[in-house]
Amino acid sequence: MSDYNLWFYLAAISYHLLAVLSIQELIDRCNDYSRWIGGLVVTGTLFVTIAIAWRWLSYGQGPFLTMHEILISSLFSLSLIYGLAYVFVPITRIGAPFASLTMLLLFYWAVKSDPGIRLLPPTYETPWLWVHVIFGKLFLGSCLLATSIGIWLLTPVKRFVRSVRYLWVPQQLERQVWIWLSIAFLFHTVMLIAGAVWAQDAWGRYWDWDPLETWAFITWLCMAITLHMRSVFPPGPRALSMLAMGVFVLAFLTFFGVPFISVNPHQGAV
Amino acid sequence: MPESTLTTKLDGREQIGNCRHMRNRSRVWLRGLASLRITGIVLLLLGAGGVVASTQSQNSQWLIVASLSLLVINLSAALVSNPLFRLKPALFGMHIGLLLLALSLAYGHLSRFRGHFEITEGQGFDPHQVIVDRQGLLAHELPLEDAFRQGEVRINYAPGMVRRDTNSRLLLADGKTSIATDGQPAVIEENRFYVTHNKGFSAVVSWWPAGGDTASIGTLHFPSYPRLAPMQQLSWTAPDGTELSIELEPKRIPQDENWTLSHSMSEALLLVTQEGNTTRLGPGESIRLEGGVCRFEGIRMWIGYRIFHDPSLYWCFASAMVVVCCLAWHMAGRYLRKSKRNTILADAGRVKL
Ligand code: HEM
Repeated sequence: MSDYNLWFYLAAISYHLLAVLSIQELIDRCNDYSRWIGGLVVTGTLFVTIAIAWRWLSYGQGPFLTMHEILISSLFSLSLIYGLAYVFVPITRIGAPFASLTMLLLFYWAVKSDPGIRLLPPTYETPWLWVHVIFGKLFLGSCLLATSIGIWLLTPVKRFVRSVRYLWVPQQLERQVWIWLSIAFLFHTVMLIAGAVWAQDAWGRYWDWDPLETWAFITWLCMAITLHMRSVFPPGPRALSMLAMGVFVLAFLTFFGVPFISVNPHQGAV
Repeated sequence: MPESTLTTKLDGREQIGNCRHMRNRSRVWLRGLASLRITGIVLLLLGAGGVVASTQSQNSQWLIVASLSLLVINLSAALVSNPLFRLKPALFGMHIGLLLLALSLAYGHLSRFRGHFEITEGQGFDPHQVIVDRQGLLAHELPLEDAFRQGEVRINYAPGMVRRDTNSRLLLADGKTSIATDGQPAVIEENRFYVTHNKGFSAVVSWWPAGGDTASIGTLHFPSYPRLAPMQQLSWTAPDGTELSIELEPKRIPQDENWTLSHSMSEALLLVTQEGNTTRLGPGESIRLEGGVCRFEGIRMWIGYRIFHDPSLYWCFASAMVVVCCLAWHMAGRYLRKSKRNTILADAGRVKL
């Protein structure tokens, strides 16, 4: 087993334990596992970071191109963002089961995908790559937070959660969903702008309605519509939760589904 | 008071009443136009335009332009009539940014020029060779003839056919040099010249008519290289009507080391076939045809460019930045201030306890 796989599988062990403990934490009345869970997110992130760094140093280029690379870099960023939120914003801890399942999904998907390397096209040598990618990851992380909290608005928290530390009232959860959705919208806007500037320099057009661009725009519009609905037709906790989930699913499919129909993240463009 | 004055006064009052009524009516109209429900519908329309645009490019433009126009009307009405915008300057700034962005996009749509052309090393730019892909109603003129002369073209490759960076040198009319590479176009008279990965070898040939008329010189572009490496041949009808088949012999592509594509990657040799007879021509050698002499001058590289001009680019970027900054300001005001207030309330609660 190469060093890369070793670190990667160590991260997977952390995420499996994380999934089990985060469910246990919500249903256990007496014991507090939050330190363990926080520790597991941090170690999982650390192992993925080492795996990516190992790959980066071995091949001399970052994980920006192939499906495997997009999956592992998203695993890193979602894990980091969720980990930071878990440690510093206690209300987000209720979302740990959903977040850990998402990370496991990314892990299994990455294992299935081809880990081979392809040289980065010359058009990737630009600072806009960093702005575009970092804000894209921040956007997906905020969406994950909105959805992992919002999911509890669909089912009364009391029905599943036994631990008193997690008995948040729906208004508190709803407010958090709005906050993370608004932040996601801001990050997504920056991602689109950076992508357009990069596309103009790289391919001589800032927008061309390729599948990735089209679906990213539709995700952005969905968020804009949701934010406007707040004052016209306030959606209520359940509908808001569905909307947040819809945005997450759209974003997830855009990030990881569209590259299926194209060799490169952007169809035909290198 | 004389009656007439009274009448005038009454008329005046009636007029004032009418004015108020009309103003109220126009305000109702404006409020209607500014409705957030319309915003929702317009945003949905815009999304539909995007989906149509990604599947078929012809009919989509109108849907997008129509929904953008509706958005501009709806937004302008809201900016004028919605009191919320006066209370929240960041939100106001953000929507002004959006309005400017929509207007810049519309202007860009009308004034954009997009085209492509191929040019050989040593050749001067000729606007007549540009194939127009898209030209808005307000698009400006292309640069003048000979605005630049094509310099050396070099494309680096990793072992095999893995393309790395492209470097194309442009010798400008004022004597300066500009380099177009991947991700960095050459900008001449506000036109952006982008290198494409379409390039190959080009044979420079001159034609000397039998009657002693003036000679002419031109280039024959072989198929794209190295993409179509095994097909480096073309058919050409000489000015006297003779059909010729011309073949080129490129060198072997290195499979185990980095290499650079330039005109020296081809043997400077043409295999010219006329009615089944093949002649090998080196630079400076010629072949005699019925109506004149065709001389092979040498091998060069040709490269394809995409040419793009859109005066709204910087306006779009500036208005998008206004949107982002004001949005960040609005969010910070909305959530940071509230959480500060919550902390203060929580502290007050604690003191009471
Ligand atoms: C693509 C276009 C648009 C985007 C991306 C956008 C985005 C936003 C955002 C992010 C907010 C803040 C929501 C919040 O504080 O949670 C907002 C609020 C608002 N927008 Fe827009 N907007 C767009 C178009 C419009 C248009 C066309 C109108 C015209 C009516 C409009 C009117 C408003 C109003 C009145 C609010 C305040 C809502 C409230 O907080 O009660 N927006 N918009």
